[in-house]
Order: sequence, then structure tokens, then C-alpha cells
Amino acid sequence: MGTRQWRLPAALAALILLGASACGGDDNQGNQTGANLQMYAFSSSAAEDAALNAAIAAYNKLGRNTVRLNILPEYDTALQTALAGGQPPDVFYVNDNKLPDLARAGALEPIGDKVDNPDDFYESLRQSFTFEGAYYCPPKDFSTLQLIYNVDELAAAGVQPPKTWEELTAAAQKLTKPGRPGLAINPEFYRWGVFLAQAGGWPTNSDVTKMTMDTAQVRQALQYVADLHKSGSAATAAAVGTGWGGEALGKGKAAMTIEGNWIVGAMKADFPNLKYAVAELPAGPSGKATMAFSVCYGVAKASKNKAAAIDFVKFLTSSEQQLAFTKDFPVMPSRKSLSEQWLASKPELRAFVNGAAYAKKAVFIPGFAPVVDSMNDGIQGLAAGDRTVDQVVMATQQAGQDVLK
Amino acid sequence: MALFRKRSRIHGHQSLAGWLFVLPALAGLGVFLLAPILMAFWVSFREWSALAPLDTSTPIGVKNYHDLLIRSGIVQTDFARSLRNNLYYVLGVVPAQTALAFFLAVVVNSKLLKGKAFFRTAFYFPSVTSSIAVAFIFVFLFSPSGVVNVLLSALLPGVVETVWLNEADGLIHLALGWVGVDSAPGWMGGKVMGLSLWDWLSGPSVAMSTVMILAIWTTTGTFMLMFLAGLQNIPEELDEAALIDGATGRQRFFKVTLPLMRPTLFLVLTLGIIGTWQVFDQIYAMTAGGPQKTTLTPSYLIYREGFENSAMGRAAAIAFILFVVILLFTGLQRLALRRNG
Amino acid sequence: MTAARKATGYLVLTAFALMFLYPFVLSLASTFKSRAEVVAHPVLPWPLDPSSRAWENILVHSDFPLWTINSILVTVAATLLRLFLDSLAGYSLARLRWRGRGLVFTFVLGVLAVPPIVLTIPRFLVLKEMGLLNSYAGLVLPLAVDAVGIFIMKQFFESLPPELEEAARIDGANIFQTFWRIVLPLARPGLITLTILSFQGTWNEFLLPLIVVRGDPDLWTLPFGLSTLGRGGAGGQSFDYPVMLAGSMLTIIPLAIVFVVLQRFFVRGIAAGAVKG
Repeated sequence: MGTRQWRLPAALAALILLGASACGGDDNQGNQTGANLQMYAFSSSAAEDAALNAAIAAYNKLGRNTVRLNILPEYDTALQTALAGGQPPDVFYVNDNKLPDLARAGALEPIGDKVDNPDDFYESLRQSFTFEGAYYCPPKDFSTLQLIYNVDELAAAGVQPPKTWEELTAAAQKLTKPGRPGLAINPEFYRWGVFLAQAGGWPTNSDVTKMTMDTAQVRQALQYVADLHKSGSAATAAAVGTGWGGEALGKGKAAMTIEGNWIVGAMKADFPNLKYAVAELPAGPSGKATMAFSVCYGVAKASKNKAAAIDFVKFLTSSEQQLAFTKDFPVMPSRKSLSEQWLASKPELRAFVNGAAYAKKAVFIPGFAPVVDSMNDGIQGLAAGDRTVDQVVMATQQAGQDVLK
Repeated sequence: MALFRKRSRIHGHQSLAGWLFVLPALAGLGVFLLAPILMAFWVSFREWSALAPLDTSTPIGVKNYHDLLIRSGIVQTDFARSLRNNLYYVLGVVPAQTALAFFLAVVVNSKLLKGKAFFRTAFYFPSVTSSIAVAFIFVFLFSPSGVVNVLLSALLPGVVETVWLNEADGLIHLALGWVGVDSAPGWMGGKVMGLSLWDWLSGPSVAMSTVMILAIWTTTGTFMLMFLAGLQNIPEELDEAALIDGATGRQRFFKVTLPLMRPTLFLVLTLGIIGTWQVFDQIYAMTAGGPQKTTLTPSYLIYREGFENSAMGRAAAIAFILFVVILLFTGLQRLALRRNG
Repeated sequence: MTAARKATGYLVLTAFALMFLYPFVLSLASTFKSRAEVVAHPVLPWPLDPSSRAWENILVHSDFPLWTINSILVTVAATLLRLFLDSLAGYSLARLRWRGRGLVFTFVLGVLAVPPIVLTIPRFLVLKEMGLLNSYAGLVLPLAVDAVGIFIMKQFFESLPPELEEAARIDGANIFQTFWRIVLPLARPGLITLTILSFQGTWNEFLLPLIVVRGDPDLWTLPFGLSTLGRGGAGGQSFDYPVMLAGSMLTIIPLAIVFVVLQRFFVRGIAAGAVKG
């Protein structure tokens, strides 16, 4: 490659750089009132859209600042484009698994502690949004994974919701009918991970500096779930012709599944007649464990109205707003003090709240996505009976070491 | 002499006019495509999260290319898998969509056909139907108790309960399995780009084959339209002349129609190869690369690395390796077509 | 014998046609189903318990009139520009003799060979530098020329018989006149094809509005606006299919009309007749 071809792209890039740095955000914090703020969000349901719009209308009414909301499709692409252009929205949703990348890129202002009573948020959620010692953004709400089951089927089979792995094996077996498994699980780390945690294992150590796939605990967990599949008492949602666990349950293609809070809204819309209930996941050899997923309100480092943006996030994370937000939308408030109030109108969802006490954060480091992908690949192979636990453990261990070193 | 001068004047005019005619188009392509392409090329030699402006990126030389092609590791194996999957996809889809589109174009162009407008519209419709709707419907058609299995169960002995989109076994591996070859013979243990020969020769997975059927079905309408436009240009006299000379239908097709359709065939094959090597939408909507990475394609990998894994430099490098692969394939196709002409 | 063969032929064609139309019919039916019914009876091509909820969502509770107007403006402008610029360039590459045209054609093909997904962000940065964000120009100009269109027109012009142009040139018409008066009318099937494809391509464009006008809902186009509806229920797990499909129906209708109207002009033998005359 000659140097000649190099000049044009370099010049072009230089041009863009100039432009980008010229528009790059400078701190301009004094202006707290009268700022125009832009917010990006993604939509997970019509109920959430309505709640968010109502919250913003209420905030705008206070007259301090004006917020303009864009609820966008292809959210990651939209947000990334705005960030790459140096003009991100002032406030935006951040998925927990995206946090390390955003933090490493310097896209976020660490404002986690600048909201009212920051210690009220669940510690595990705060950890999800902490990267290299800085707590970036307060969690909006959260979900946990638990066991969802068909009430009538369990009653008819005389099965109680299982409390241990042994009971889960027995229950799944008893609920299995010819050509239909008792338990349906999506073959991915964000479901199977609960078993790893219940066995006392995890893909990495707690500060994500070492891979710990190649351990007895992880092997035990993977072997346990793989055996459930091999015996026919568990199967993937796809293997029974459905897209996810909720659909499998709703269509009677399984009697139990492992999903999170989102299942409530989906069942109401898609399977309004199904009687289901939520139980805590069975405890493994090392006790109870689950995974938590959360989204936070990020404030852009490049924002020109940081003080106003923080004021707005404070408003959104206030107790009243959190309760309003989670009323019709079955995710849980991220403030511990609100859990009983939230449960008052939804006592049947207590298991999800209980999960907060023993949930693992499913967040790693920047660049870890291919490792999770590789693990998912292995999990799919285990579920299909195409691969052995040893192969999966070693492949993921190796993939992780590539990234971590 | 005079003749010569005149011709050269025309040539001068043509030269000027030639450039003037392409200039506006070139300007547009230059600004809105070439500039972004050059920028992406530059990015492929850098590490950039794309979560902050370009000035936060750092130069890393050819590392992105090295990781993809040479250094063994997950990056290389994922890329090798995506190339393998896409290669089978191209080999399956391009001939099928071209043949089907040509066949349908000839049929709806026929003078004898009644209800031409209806059939043309019907065959074109998958091209306008939204990809969400199409993916949605295919998932149901190919579900375990879906229409496809019901039909197959009726035609074949036994009950067919294949979970089409969840089946990671390769077709060639399956075929070898039927004749008793279940695992790699010793000489196939050698690895190319981190993937054993046995894995390279798996054939498309059942899931990928399902996606291929969908792709053929959705793209045929567009290519039919191009063939149709080409067929319109064939002067009827030529056909008539051939008919008078006593040519049979088949002879007329191969001796008259096909040679005249060469430019359109080149168009359709080239666009087909480019489009299939860049397949993204169907994968994104239906399988997200699974099961067991057997529908992972380079374009999907670009999306995953660039937008989910914040490794835009690596994504760009994948794009330019794919660019070279596409040029190679279109070049080969051009040679083959010229040879037959 | 021939009657039987003919009947078989029509049977095969009709089977194909049904296969190609079924998803469309099914989508239409699904827009009148409830979410629960879509899940319970996915492949039934009519609703058991018709509901107008999805269409109300789309037609009453959205800005669809504004989006439709934007889409029409953008699509018509981009398609007209494409027709003109692509056929000019295609003609030049097919018929005119000039140095560098092989190179230019290779360039056009080369541009196509770069996977578009990787250009999303660089394209955004270029448009930003040009000050085209949040404007109609930003939606139209990047779509005004396309390499596929140039390629289609080039191949099409190459398959036209050259005699007529030569005659016109000898009669003293200049190159543009020949192109405009003689060649373009002959190129009707090619232009129709390009119109259909351009209309469809620009009408359905999703990524460009996402990067250019995402922050300005006044400039949203129909497919982009509609894509903001109907997600949800389960964090991306379960979709409001009736609403999504009603949205897709709404975007398909104009395309279907354009196709049905234009396909009538595929009439064979114009070029041939003209040469004879």
C-alpha cells in the first residue's frame, strides 16, 4: 500500500475531527434553569412509553427546564451515531450490559450519587452501573429472573414449585409429556447463568480479570442443565416451536420456564387466559441465586446542560416518579424503600422482588460481547446434545482469556 | 482522411459528453458513498469504540486485519465461520434466484399468457412485503407443527417434526451421516483460519437453508423485473425469423433469447452475488446468527462488532475483507460469462 | 394434450402466485386480529374475532399523515433525480466512447461491494459536516444517485439495438438530443423498472431517517415513524404484531399501486417496431 492512497482518507478524517472537536461538549454548568434538554429512550411497551411521556410532561410543568423526548427504534445504532458525532442527547437510557463500553469511551458523566438518597438503590444495581470505581448512573428500575409456571398443570400433576435442583429435576420430569418437555429455557447465558450462580460458579471472577469457566462449579451447573435436556424433561423454547419461554408456557408447550418481569406484560397481551404464577428459582448446591437486569438514566459527558440534566434525572428517580413509572409496567422500582408499596398492588410478583437480595449482575467489561456469544453458542450445543460440557467450558475459557489479557 | 477527421471529432465530443453525463452521478457517489468508504477504510486501521468522536480512536496498524485473518482466537474463528456460512448461502441462493426469476420473467412475458398483470404483480409482491412480515410468517411456516412439516408429513413416510430454524447440523454432514460417516476422517483435522476442514465442509445448516429459501423467495420478484425489462428489448422479428427457419422452442431460447439477455444476466448475477455476500436483514430478523453460529454472516458480524461490541475498527476491517471477497467473486463470474459468450 | 399442458401450466403458475401472495394476505388478516389471536392462530388467513384496534393505533393515535407527506416528498424527489442521473450515467457508460469509462464502471461496482452496514456512522459524519442533518436535503440527496440504478441502466442500454442512435447522429442530432429524444423513449422498460425499484427503495429507506432526522419528529418518514410503534410487551421478546403489520400494510399500499400502474407499460416490441419504422 503506497502512501498516496493514504492521504485522502487521512485528510478526510482530519476534516471530520476538526468539526467534531469544534462541536464537542464543554462544561457549561451554571445554567440550571431554562435549559432545553433532549432525551433518547427505547420502548419496551406502550405502557412504558405512556409512563415516560407523563413523567416528562410533569417535569416540564415545573418550569425549570424543557425536555424533549425521542423514543427511537434501533436504539443502539441511533445512540451510537449521536455519540460518534459528538452531539449526544443530554439524557439517555443505558442498558446495564452496555455500561462498560460507554464508560470506557468516556461517553458518560458519573452522576450516580448526585440524586436524592443514593444509598436507597439496591447495591447490586449500583454495582451494575459502576465501572472502574466510578458509579455512573442511577438505575431506572430492574427485573430479575425467576421460575414461571402453569398453575393448573402443576396442581393437576400434584407438583409443588421446586425448591432445590433435585426437586426441579423431579418436577420437570413429572410434568413432561410425550413430545413435550416440562421446562422450557432459552439457550443463552442470560438464562442458564442462574444455574452457574446457584452452583457457586460464574464465567469470571468478581472484578472480571480472570476467566473461571474451567471450575468444578461451572461444570457441575452445565452438566445439570444439559442432563435435564438430554432426558427430555427440559428443552429450548425454539425446540418446541416458540420464540421464548413465555410463548412456550402460553401455548402449553411447557409447564415451567425461566423468565423475568417482562413476562407479565407479554402474558397479559398474548395469553390473557393462562393462569400462571411466579416462584423463586430453586436453590443449587451453593444456595439461591438469580440474575438482575437493569437500565439507568445516563447523562452525556458531552452535554452542555449537565446541571439541568442532573436535575431532571433527580426528578425521574424520585420515589413518586419511580412508583408512577412501575405501576402499570411490571418492572420493579430500583429503590429498596419502595418495594413493599410496589408489592401492595402486585403481591403475586413477590418472588421477583426477593430475587434482588441474591441477584448477580450480568455485566462484564468492554469488548466482552463475543465471549458471551461464544458461551451462547456452547449452551445451544449442550441443549441440542451436540457438544460436551468439557468442550463448552474450554472453548469459553479460551475465548474469554483472549479478551481479558 | 476527411472521414477520419470527422470520426475523431465525434470522439472528442463523446469524450466530453461521456464525462459530463457521468459527472453528476459521480459527484453524488463520491460525496455520499466514497467519502464514507474512505473514512471506514481509515477506521479499519484504528481502534474506535464509535461511542465517542473519531478523535478518541487510536492507530493500531494492521492489527484488526491480523486478528481476523492470522492470529488464532475467537475473533478469527468467528470470522471464518461467517465466511463459511455465507459461502454456502451464496452458492445456494444465487443460482436458484437467477433461474427462478428468469423462468418467471419468460412466463409473464409470454404473449400467450392470460392474466399477465395478475401474475406479474403476484410474483413481484414478496419484494414489497415488509421483511418483518415475511420473517414473522416464515417462522410460523417452518415451526415444528407448521405448514411445512404438515405437508412433508403427508408426503413422506412417518411424521416430520424438524425444528427448521433450530437445527445446526450441516447438510453435507447430514448426508455423510446417512452413509455412515459421522466424524472427521483423520486427514480432515487440519485447520484453516482456526476451523477444521471437516467444519469448513459442513454445508449450510438446516437453519441456514431455511433462511436461504426465504431469501430466494423475497428476491426473485426484483430480479424477475430486471429480466422482464431485458426481454422487452428482444425484437420480435428475431424470434419470428428463427421460427421461420424452423427452430424449435428450445433452440430459439438457447440460440436467440439467451445470448441477447447476456447484459441482463450479468446484471442479475452481479447484483445477486453482491447482495448475497452482504446478507444482513434476514439474519437479523430471524436467527441473529444462531443456532450455534451457523447463520453468522460477515455483515451480521460487522453489526455485532460495530454496534454491540463497540469495536468499530474491527467491524470496518471485516467489511474490507468482505469487499475483496465480493470483488473476487464478481470477477470470476464475469470471466465465466465472457468465456461462454 | 395441449389443453392439458396448458392447464398444468396455469396450475403451476397459480400455485406460485399463491405462495407469493399468501404472506401478504396473512399480514392483512393479522392486522384485524387481537394479539392473543395472532399468537393462537398465526397462519389463519382471516380473523376469527375482527378487531380494529391495530388500525386505530396507526391511523388515529399517530402522526401518520405528516409522515406520509414527508415520505411522498422525499420519495418523489429522490426517484426523479435518480431516473435522470442514473440513466445519463448509464447511457454514457454503455454507449459513449471515452477514456476512463472502464475505470468509472469498476468504481460504480466497487462502491456496491462495500457492505452498507459499515457505512452507517461514516455516512452520518459526512452528512453532519455538510450541515445536512435534520433537513429534507439530508433525506433526499444521499438517495439521489445510486450505483445499482446506474448499473441497471448501463446494462439495459447495452441491450438496445444501436441503429437508431447512429441514424440520429448522422442526421446531425447532438449527443444529448439523441439521448433525450431517441434513446430515452426506447428505454421505457428500463426506466419503468428503475422507477419501480427506486420508488420502492427510497420509500422503504429506514437507516437514513434514523441517522439524519431521528431527533426531529417533524421530518420523520412513514416507515421510520411506524417503526416507533408496536414494539413491546416484553423487552423485545413479544411484539405487537397486529400494529406492526398494520404499519407495514400502510407502507405497502402506495408501492403496490405504483407497481400495478407501471407494470402495464411492459409491452413488448416497441424498440423493435421503432427500428423497423
